[in-house]
Amino acid sequence: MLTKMMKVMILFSVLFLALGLVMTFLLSFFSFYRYPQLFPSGFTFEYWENILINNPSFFEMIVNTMIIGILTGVLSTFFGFMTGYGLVKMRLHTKNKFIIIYSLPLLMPVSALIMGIHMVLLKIGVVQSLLGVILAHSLLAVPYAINIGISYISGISPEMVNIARTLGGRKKDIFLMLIVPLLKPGMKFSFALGFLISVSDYLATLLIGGGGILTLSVVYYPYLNRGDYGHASVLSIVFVTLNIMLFIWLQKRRKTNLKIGGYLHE
Amino acid sequence: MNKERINTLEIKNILKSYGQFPVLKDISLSIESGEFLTIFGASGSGKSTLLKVISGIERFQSGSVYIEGKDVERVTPEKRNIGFVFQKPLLFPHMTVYDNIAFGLKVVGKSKQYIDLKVKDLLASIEMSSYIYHYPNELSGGQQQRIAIARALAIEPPLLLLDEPFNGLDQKLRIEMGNLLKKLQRNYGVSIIFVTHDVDEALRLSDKIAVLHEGEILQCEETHRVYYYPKCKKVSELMGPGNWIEGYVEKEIFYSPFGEYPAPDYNSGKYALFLRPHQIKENEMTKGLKCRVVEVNRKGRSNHIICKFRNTQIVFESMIATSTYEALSEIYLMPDISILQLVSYGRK
Repeated sequence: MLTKMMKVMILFSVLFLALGLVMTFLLSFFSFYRYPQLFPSGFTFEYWENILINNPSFFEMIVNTMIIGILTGVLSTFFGFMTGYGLVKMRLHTKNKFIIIYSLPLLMPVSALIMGIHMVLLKIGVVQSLLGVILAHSLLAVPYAINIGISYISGISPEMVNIARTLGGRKKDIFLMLIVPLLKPGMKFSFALGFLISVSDYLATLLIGGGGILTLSVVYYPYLNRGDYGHASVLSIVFVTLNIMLFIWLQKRRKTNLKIGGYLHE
Repeated sequence: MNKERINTLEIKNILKSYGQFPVLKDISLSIESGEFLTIFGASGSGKSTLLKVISGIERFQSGSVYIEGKDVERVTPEKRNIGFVFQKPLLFPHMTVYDNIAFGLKVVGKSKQYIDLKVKDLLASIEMSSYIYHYPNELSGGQQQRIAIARALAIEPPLLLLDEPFNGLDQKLRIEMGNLLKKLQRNYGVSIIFVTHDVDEALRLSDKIAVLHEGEILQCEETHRVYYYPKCKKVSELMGPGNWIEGYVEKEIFYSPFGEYPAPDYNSGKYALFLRPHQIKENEMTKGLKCRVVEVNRKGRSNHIICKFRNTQIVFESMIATSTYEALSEIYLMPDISILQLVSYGRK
């Protein structure tokens, strides 16, 4: 029997997720859909053809989005976890202040940060390049990665590390055989977040890429601004497909990944 | 040739403090090969810290630690070759039982064949061969602790440290695990230092007991001596209820409220006779110490009868089936001892 709360949750899921997706799907295949029409009219493949076949930069856009997204995920996770590791292991009274400083970008709007990032990247000469966009996206994603890293790293019991030491494990062995595998779920999470931040970013990509770096979001927003919902819907579906693929990859955990719950020390 | 016997572990005058707070005060003790030593004490007495100092996890301010005759002060934990089992099993959650036990062997580069043999032998010893490819979260608490012990034994340490490893297990399982530990000790010839605050466990498992109180070892002797002949009142209290019967020796006779006993090995002076509750029996012949029953405490299979003799409280044990004592009734008590062992009176 469904409880009342469960029914409410299902209703909200349908309203906010499924309904939105259904609407997007319909808008990508129909040219006319206005209130008070119940069903859309003017079935067409035009939007799909324009985006997938007639658009010469579609492949470039997907490749750019994937490269920037994946590298942003990797870089932000790497730097975030290394910083997080340092912050957890650091025996300083000022540790918490460092953590606050690293978390500050989370409290600011992207537009406030991106101007500063633009100035720095301009100085080092990487604007209007893939590298520049990747660096800018990574800088936006790193604060999240640091915080994810801190929570996962501080969850590893020091006693477990001590056990590994008494068993003869050197620092390198412990890091590779114990720490890294235990941090893997956090790293995956951080990578996914970095990827999503990158894929959905418009402002930084446009500003740092100077309009020359085509990504999904760079192409998507102008369609939306013009009120061209048909093309925007097709791009949205491509967008969602990429994210769903990532989600499936994250959910497709091997047996060993399922076993690492419960290691957090109390 | 008279070869000097080397202790598995010898620690001398260890001082350890956290800031201004001393945790271990001038600790010295040793353990011979194949011996089972229990460090017994209340929470916060420094038991776990002592194990960490021995294993090298914690540094100390002064003193020395020798393992098989070698000074290991500057030797890091990974090079000491000491097995350590914590209160929690702390198995590596992403590894199977096989990989957990093999960890210590892999990191020192043992061959796959050797690791296979060793892991299977250890699993057979702890009767868990069928769990070889299970993950820790598929095992019960007791099974996890068995694997933790096997993992520590895999590196063939001369010394195994166990820090209250059976906490959280039910009484029956504790006894089973204790028996298993003794079996493993015999099979692998390892010396064991076992930390507990459970008196029964300490008495059941140990060859020797070291009583630790506020960072000091009050007594370290054979199990029966610590239990029956405590060196001070604190040791007797920590090990369970007991009675200090005060008296004096004069002309090789010990005079006590219970009566007179020959004491040929003692000089004249004040002494005390220490008796555990089961060493005192009721005398139905109206001989002995006349006491008045104050309270009957039920202890499960037996009762502890608390009596008063003048201002002294005396506790004795009575089996539940024969226990018909009532408050304020008068009874006569006699010690049930074969050897008179006195403690010099006036110690703290």
